[in-house]
Amino acid sequence: MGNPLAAKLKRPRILRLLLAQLVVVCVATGLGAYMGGMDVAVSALLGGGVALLPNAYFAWRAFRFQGAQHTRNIIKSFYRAEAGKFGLTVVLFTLVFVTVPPSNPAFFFGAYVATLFVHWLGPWLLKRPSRT
Amino acid sequence: MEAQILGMTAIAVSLLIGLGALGTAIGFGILGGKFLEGAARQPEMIPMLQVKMFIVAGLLDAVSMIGVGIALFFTFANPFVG
Repeated sequence: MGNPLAAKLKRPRILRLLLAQLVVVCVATGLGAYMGGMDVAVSALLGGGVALLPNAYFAWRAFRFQGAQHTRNIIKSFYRAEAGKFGLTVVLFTLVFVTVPPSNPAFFFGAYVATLFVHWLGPWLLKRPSRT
Repeated sequence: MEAQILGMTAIAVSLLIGLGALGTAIGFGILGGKFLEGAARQPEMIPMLQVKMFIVAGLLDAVSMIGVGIALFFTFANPFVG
């Protein structure tokens, strides 16, 4: 028998934010392919991927607990999520620079920054429609 | 000359990563404290506060993450060394 309160809690629309980031990665990759060919597209894809993966981990980890009885667990989960995001970002950047150095750093960092800044749309993307 | 550039780059990289992590840590500490305060005052607002905290966390660490990326770029593909 689960917690009856937990069943009433609505899950936030975090998936919309991640989907918006995925769209930005795809647009940056398409733009790179159009403007500079396959190498530039791969650079943009890698930049977007380096931003998207740690963000997805952060979202998954940060919302593992919900509800008033889990306040301390929510905070712990957020701190772990941030530490994991930081570490994952460092690891992914290192992996990219060591294994497949981006041929176009401007597109790589452009796609990275554009994907990160989708968070600025968070208040709009995570808003629930009003019922009135 | 090249050794000097490499040394200065190493200092810059450590400052970028270290100060970025410090700023994020201070911001997250304040954010978590405020969340606990708000949750203690109005427990029914916790789901909303959690979403707001997620949004602010994304804004908070964006700049330091960019700094980390640039620092690692300087480490592995230093553009100042010909």
